[in-house]
Amino acid sequence: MSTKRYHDRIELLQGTLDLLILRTLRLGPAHGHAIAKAIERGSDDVLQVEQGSLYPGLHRLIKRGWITFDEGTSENNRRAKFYCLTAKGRKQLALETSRWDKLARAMARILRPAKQE
Amino acid sequence: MIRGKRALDGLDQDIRDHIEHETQDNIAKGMTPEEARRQAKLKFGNVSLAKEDTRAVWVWLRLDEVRQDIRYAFRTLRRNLGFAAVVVLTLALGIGANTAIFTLVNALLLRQLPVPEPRQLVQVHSVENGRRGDVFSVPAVQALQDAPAGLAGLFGVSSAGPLSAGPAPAVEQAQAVWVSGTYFSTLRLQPIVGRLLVPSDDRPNASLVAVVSHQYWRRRLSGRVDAIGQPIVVQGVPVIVVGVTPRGFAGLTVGEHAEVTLPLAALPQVIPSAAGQLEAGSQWLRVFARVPSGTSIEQAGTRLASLWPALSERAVSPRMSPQGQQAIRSAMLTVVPGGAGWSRLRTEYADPLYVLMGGVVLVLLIACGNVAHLLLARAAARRGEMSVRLAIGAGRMRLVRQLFTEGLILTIGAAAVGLGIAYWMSHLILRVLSVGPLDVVGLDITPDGRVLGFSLLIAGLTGIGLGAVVAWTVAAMRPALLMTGHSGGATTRRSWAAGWLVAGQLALSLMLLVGAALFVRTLRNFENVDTGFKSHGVLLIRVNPTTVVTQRAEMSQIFQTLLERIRGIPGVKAAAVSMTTPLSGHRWTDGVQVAGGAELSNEDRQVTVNAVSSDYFRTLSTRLIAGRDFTDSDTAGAQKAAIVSESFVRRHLGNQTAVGRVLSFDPGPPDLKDLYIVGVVEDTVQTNLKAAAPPTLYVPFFQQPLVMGESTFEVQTDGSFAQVASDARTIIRQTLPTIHVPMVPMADQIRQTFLRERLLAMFASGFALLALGLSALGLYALVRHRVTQRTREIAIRLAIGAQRWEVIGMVLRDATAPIAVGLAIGLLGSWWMSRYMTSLVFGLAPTDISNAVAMTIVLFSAGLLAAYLPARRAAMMDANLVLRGD
Repeated sequence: MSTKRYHDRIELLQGTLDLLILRTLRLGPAHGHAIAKAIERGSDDVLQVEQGSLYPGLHRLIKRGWITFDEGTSENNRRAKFYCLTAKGRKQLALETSRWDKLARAMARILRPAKQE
Repeated sequence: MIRGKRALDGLDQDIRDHIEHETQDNIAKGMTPEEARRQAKLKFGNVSLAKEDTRAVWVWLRLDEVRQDIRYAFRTLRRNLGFAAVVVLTLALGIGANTAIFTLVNALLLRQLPVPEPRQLVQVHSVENGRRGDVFSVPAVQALQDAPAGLAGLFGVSSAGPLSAGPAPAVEQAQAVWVSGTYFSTLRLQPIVGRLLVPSDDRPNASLVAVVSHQYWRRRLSGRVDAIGQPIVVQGVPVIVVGVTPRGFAGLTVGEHAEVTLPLAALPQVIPSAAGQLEAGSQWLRVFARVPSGTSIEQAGTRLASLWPALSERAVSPRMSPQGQQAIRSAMLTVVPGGAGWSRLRTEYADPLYVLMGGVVLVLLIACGNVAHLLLARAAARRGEMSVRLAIGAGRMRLVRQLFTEGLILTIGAAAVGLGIAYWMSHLILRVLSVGPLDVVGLDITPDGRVLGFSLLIAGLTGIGLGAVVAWTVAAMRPALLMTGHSGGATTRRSWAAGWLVAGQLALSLMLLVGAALFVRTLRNFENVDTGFKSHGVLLIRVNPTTVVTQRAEMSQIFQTLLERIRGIPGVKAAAVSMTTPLSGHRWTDGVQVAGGAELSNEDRQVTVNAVSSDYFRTLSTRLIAGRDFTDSDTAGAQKAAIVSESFVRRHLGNQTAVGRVLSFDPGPPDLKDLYIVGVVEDTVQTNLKAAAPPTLYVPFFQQPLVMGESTFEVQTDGSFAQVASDARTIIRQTLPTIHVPMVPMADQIRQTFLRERLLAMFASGFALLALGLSALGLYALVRHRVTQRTREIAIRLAIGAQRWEVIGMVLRDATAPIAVGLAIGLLGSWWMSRYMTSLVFGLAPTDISNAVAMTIVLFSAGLLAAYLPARRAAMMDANLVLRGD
């Protein structure tokens, strides 16, 4: 595919992907692969994210100070980076979640006003 | 940034682990290992792209933040336009002034000649009897040219002198230089049209050719290619123009423009009266050479010096005195870098320029002090905003970077405005210099890479310095304390810093004031020198008929007629004509022996000579001490007369009467032997206001035919210069319609000799006043801030009955610390500085105490006034209002 469309896709998903990562980490620290799996499972496989784009997302969140990481051992005894939410990240999650809710409700109202008719 | 590195560490491993994990999962689902891995990779997507994007996150966000910083900075600055304007203007003044002076330093001292590889060029100097000189005679140059010194060329060149030149009949005055045949080949210049001079043009019987400069070609020969090969008339003699030098090349003398370049061999034909200058006794050429690559300048110099004794035989002539010959033979040659050409301006103005450069740097530092203070004040005012940002997690570094960006934008703006100021200022300086006798028009002050680089450098240093100061104060801020309205430790630091800043500013201002006072007094001393004549109201008119008249008798007649007619102009109180005038830059010296007078050495026998008509002394108000003035009957055929100055009498005759004694020029032609002294006049300065008046001898203008040539009319008017000048011009035009007649008030001619002292005094005063104003402002701001800090305390004191003057006293006492410290440092600095100023002052010692004392008083008063204003406001406050509103 053309580079431009690829980047468009990235743009669209950046904010949402970050939110999903944050949400996943709310339940506790996890490593990269586990996060990817959790997102897939959590959305009943509706959201198929290219797993590669997870990493830029993780680093964006690290840069913003919303998550941090530690070295640890994964379930099959391999060393891996474990990511977890920071206090700021928790605040941001709450903020973004409420924004999403507002957005979703507004969209629903516009797309389906028929209920009133 | 460190976080990013840590996070990126092991990224490859992480991704590999991720894919491995997915592979394991797939195997668990039942796929074959190969299929599992393939599916895992597919699911992951493009690995290298993922890595790239991840790394880009750290770069991208940084750039993004910088963009944010810049936008935010612009927004805040726009909201505080006044503040931004003051900062930009203040810095621009400092940066601009610095760049302006540096432009001159660059043009005069640093810039190399526009020839290939100018760093290979050297100039040859000689040290004779301990005195250093840089002029050689024509035979000396020829000897040096032939010497096997391993040089890639050597030539002699004169400084530019005025000649009448031009395509007939439009003859004007042009600047001409005389060069030896190897001039252009050593410089390695290529003509843009035609050819340049070659050694065969510099032979006695070669046809007369000349090369013109690009500017001259365009201006006077219309830039026409067919002008090459056509003659122009130089001093009445046709000379063929064979070529044009490249644009931008104006000769070897910086500040002069060599419009016409002629070979030395042509001198006797173009100016027959100057034929003697081709002999060994006339030293007037500067010598340059090109050192081949591979040889160092020192090596070339040593080689040349060792060859000189053998060569020097060609440079002496039997007609020179034995001492003169010996001096030449024993001269020591040295070479110095010559890539920047030579300049009379340079030797004169190098020191003043360095002084001005130092001064202007001080001004910049003082301006920076004020700006730093402003920035600090603003940072403190914004501490509310900053504390919030710190509290919600903005990194301290981020905050500092934000402030830094603001400062940077301001500095860049200041640099841009500064360039404009620099342009204006350097042109102003040039205009001031242009009324001088030296042709400054040739000085190229277009900004080149070096000037722009310098400008950026000081702007950058300023920005960094200011940024560091602000960052240092912000670094001390503690968020929690800030939010409660407490200044959080920043104020103490800030107040302490501000106090020292102001002290520093005052110190630098004192140094500038003392310097300026020295220069102003020097200038005053120059203006008050007893010159021995009065120049007020005297107009000088230079007439040079040699281009149209060649017979001496005819010239004498013309001058006679002109003098009579000029004396008849209404408004003219007296008029005379003479060969030279005092401080004109021209000088005739010769050895003179008085019959029965003291036997003097060759050197002591030298006197300054001038040929003057009757009424010369009356026109210039020079006192006649004994005997009589020349009259109209002192003409050819009458008894040969002479008038001498006081110091002449002292040196040659001691206490004896001079009138009636006989003197002769020794050596001299028969016309200048056995002259009777008929009068004695007071001493007048001749070439230099600083030196004592030299012994002077005057001969009657119309009695000595040898003197006929370019002469000057002195006209004492009743003040109406313009009318007299135009009348005189009409009269002269009637007899000599084609020549150029320059007129200058004598007072101007005198003033031109201390032009650089005027320049120094003017600019040093300007800088000093500017510095004083800025420092006073700084002190005012400091005291006002301190008063604001102590508002409550002062209000309480007033409420419990303190007098207003007690409050003022308290505030002022507080302010004395920075003032006192500043003055103390300033005095030390002035004392240190004055050691370097000896060559620039006249009539007073640079360590003159009265200067320092006077300026200290001035600065102290200014400081006190600056502190008094806010003190008074504080004392005037309504204490109850303040306390109630607390």
